[in-house]
Amino acid sequence: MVGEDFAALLGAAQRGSEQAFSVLWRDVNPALLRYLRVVASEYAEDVAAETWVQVVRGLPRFTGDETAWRAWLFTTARRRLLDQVRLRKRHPSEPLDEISPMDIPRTADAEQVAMDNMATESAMALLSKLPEQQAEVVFLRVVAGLDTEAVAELLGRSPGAVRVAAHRGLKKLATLLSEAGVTL
Amino acid sequence: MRFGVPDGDMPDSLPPPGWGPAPFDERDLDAVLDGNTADVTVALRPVAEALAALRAGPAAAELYGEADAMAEFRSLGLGQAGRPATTMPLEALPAGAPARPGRRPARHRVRPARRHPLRRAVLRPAVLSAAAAAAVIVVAVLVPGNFAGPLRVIAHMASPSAGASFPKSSTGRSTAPGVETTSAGLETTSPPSPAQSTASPQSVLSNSCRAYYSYYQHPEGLSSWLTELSLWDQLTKLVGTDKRTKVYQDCAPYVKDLFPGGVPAAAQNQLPGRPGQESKSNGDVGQQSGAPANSRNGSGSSTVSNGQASSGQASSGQGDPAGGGSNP
Repeated sequence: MVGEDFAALLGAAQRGSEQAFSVLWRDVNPALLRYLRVVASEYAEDVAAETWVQVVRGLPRFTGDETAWRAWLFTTARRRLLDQVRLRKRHPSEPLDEISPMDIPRTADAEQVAMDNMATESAMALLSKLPEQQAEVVFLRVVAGLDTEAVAELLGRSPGAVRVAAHRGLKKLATLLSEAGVTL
Repeated sequence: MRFGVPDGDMPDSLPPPGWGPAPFDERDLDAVLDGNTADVTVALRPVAEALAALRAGPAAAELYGEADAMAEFRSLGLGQAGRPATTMPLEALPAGAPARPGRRPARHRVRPARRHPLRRAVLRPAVLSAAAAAAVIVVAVLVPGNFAGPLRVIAHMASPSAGASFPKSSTGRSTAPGVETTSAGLETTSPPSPAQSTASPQSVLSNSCRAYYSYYQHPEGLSSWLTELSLWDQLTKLVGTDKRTKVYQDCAPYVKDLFPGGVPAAAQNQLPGRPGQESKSNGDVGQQSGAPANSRNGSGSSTVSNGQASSGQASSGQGDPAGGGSNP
């Protein structure tokens, strides 16, 4: 989250500051990608790119605080995701040959990066085991940083239903963690 | 022993598992969702740690799309704030919007009608004709005062040799051999001009003579020389002949005081403007005085008074060019 500097950053970005736009992008894009990977992992990259195209086009006309900014961005991402899902259903495509792990480019600190991201990737894998609606609500509440009302508006549900889904998801997650033998 | 189990193996003092109060309530769940993990229960700590891992910093792979997003940011006209402007941004006004204050509305440019070629062809000669007419008028005004003299000078310069070859009378008749000439009219005096008739002929002649012969007292530059030519013309008209000896004879009474030491020969026979050039005739004042001009020097200078300049040819078609060059 950007915090108190969000209004200044947004204004600068709307006036054409690349630096301000870069800060906003770096703040939101990781959470956006994690959300999309949990909801629809195979479309995550494409949907994220389409989301930013639409966000940039609407950036000069956007007004609101950081919560509204994130809600607008994740709402856009979700709609693009639904469009992508419908498109793939109408026009199914065969994936290209799988890339061998040996052919994946490696960096010098690839192992360290993998170790650092292991906790995040493990948590995302664990969350992916939740029911879709519960996982989406938990992600939007936790990763996107949206409150109950914003998530309810985004998903088109009541705030109470969102709250119940979030609680059920956390309980399920605790059960899964207990079953996996993760104790503190 | 109960149900085949000894009482010491399974005491009934402990509650069964799952019994009792829940390990966390809804407030604990909301706190975990909001990220408040300080007072979280032990049962939710693994969940809180998992959610914290989801909030972890970005991985390198999650920042690869920044270049594409920035390219889109620039392609839409944004992203130019930190760069030097190459074009002036103009305000986009909707159609029909009123013009900004202080600016005149755009107008259609009216191209001037192209002049027809025929009209130009007609006007150009007209302009040239008008300019030529104006030039002629200017020349006509200026030439008589400034250029008549030089022309006459040229005629006078050519006259001695021409006169020696073809003596002419004042009437312009040539005395070339084979041509019958008469000197009857040589002594005649031309009638006074209307301008002269208004003043006394004697005073006019006196003034002209004194003005003319004073030149020999004070030879000056070209302008004075030209003046003398004009005076000579006037004098020849007054005297009625262009013979210098005759002219001097008529002027002698009025100019004797100008030459107390004797009248120079040049004053009698030489052309104005050529002082120092001796005449072929023997110009003695005493001898010339009262003598016929053509009988003394045997040559009549051809002057421009009659509009003809002798150049070795008989004037008025009466002379014989083939017989020129010999003095009879």
